[in-house]
Amino acid sequence: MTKLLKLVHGIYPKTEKLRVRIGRWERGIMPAKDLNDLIQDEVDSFEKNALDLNIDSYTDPLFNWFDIFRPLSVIAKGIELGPLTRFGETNTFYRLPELKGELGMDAKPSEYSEIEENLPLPLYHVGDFSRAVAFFPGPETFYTMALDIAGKGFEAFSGDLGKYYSSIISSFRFRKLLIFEAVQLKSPQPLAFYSHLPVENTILFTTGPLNDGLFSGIKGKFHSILSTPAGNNLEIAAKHSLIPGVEILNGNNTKLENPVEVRSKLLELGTKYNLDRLYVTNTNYLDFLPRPIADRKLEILSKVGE
Amino acid sequence: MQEKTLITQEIGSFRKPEYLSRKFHTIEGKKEFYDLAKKATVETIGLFENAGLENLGVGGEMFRWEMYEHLAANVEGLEFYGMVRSFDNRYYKKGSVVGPIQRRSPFHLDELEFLLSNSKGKLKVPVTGPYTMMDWSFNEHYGDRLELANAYADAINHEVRELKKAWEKVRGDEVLEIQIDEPAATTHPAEMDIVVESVNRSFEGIGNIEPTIHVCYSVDYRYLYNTLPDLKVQGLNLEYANRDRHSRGVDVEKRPGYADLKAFSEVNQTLSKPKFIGLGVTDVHIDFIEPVDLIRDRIETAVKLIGDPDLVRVNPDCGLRTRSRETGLEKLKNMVLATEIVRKNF
Repeated sequence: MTKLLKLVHGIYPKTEKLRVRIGRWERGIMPAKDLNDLIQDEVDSFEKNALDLNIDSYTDPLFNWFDIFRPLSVIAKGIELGPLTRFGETNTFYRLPELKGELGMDAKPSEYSEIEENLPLPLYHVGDFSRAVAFFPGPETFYTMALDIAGKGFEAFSGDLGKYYSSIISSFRFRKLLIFEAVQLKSPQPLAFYSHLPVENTILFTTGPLNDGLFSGIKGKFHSILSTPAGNNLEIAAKHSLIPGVEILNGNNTKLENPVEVRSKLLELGTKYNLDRLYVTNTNYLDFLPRPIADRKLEILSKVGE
Repeated sequence: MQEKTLITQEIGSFRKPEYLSRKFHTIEGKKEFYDLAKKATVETIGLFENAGLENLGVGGEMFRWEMYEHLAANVEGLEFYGMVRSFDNRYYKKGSVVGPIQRRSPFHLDELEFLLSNSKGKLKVPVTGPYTMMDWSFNEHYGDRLELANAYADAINHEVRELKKAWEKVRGDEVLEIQIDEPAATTHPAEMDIVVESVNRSFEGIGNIEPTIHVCYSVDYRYLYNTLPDLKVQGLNLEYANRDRHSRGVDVEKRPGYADLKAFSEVNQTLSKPKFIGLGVTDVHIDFIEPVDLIRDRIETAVKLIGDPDLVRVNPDCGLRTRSRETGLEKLKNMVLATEIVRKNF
């Protein structure tokens, strides 16, 4: 029988307490250090809950990221923040990264520090590196959702981004990283990007249909390729990764999935493709949902994998 | 036929006085709330009249806190599980549709009845549109997005009929202006047919009204312009100033914010009954008070592109609740002064 591995990724919605405290910090009536301590407490409690629910892997809940590009843009040389921009077809907005020059590191990402236009660093707060995974927006998503003012082009930007992410990872003790591609992949995975990052330790979150051409040139297999179970996505993901994954818990709708039905569907897929292990994860990240619903979805994820 | 060229109008919301905004949520629905909302409405109408505004809207939406929540609070079928992020640390209540959407109680009847007994001026009632209500809700109940948008449209249609009854009692056969607010209208370009069907359904079977639509901050208004032959509204009240420059001039090159009116005009000219544009001429997201000559240039550019001043009305980009009341007043005053200058040229 296929073993189902539970993975939750991306920005996780904040508690009301944290939202209120961030408001206080914004108004200058709560010190940044105290806010960082609270964020650490909230991350600790997220990790404890994930452990209790037997979640196999999770990314940092990113409680101090205003959007998936923000702190990465703020602490980078060569990127400036542009206007608020709609995130895909959602009703959530992010600050447009404007690519203006050579990409480089302008901070110590693992240490506490106050930065402009975002909550204080460190970039990640998780402590259990046997389960926690680093989260990064993918090169195609970053490039597509940014404005290339310098005219660098996708390939060159991808190389710089891989190097930049590599320098961030070296400041932490993560064993794996998750590359989040929110846009439908059109280009083959950029070799320039993966020349700086370990493909075998990378979980690639994808959007839309997959084809073999997207992985041409990549040496070795990804640790995992996550995709929706539509078409022949799972077959392609299994071909190019060690453990394929299925995006099945809806991050865009409050409707709660039936864990028995989900489990049965996944086991059926596992048998069909002769898989010994299969990741099961959320579609979009759960920050698009109210926190109580995200917590319920996490419980469902836990039950799916029992 | 419009009775005046270049009518000046509000879009909807205006900053609430502090005595109302501070207490709004704690007293909502109680006698004190209505007393304060009425007081604030009277004061805001006075402020609009002082600015010289011709259409007073509903006096700045003093009875409402937020466009989505207000309507959502008055329909059956929605549940609220918590807040959802809009951006940074800004959150809004996004409801989940868990059952059939039905109008439970009037959305704006108390507001309109009060206005009718306190103003003889030109009014325009903004109502949040069915497509935006659908897009900003989680859908746990309906089979697809069209079905949900149409369910909201039916609730809105019910509301508009009730508003019309109240209107007729006081204003007789004068036309009732209803502005459907659809900020989400062009968010999903592939769904423009849903926008058209649900907006039309909101007015279906209701005569002697002037339906308009308000859209703002669209990535591309051409998606909306292309629906003009099918969209049964008489005008589009849109945001443009936000995407324009502050330099002077009436050429399209100098006024990039208004350049796509050419596309509007091309579609509009093919219609047997052309629609008007409610032209956003002042940016509601900045405190900069646009000078009269800048607003004048914006209006003249639009009139030049549209070709007929009777097809242009003048308004802020969106609700002015984002600015202080003082800044809002100054913006409106300059808008009116600039309009008067342009009028003199015709």
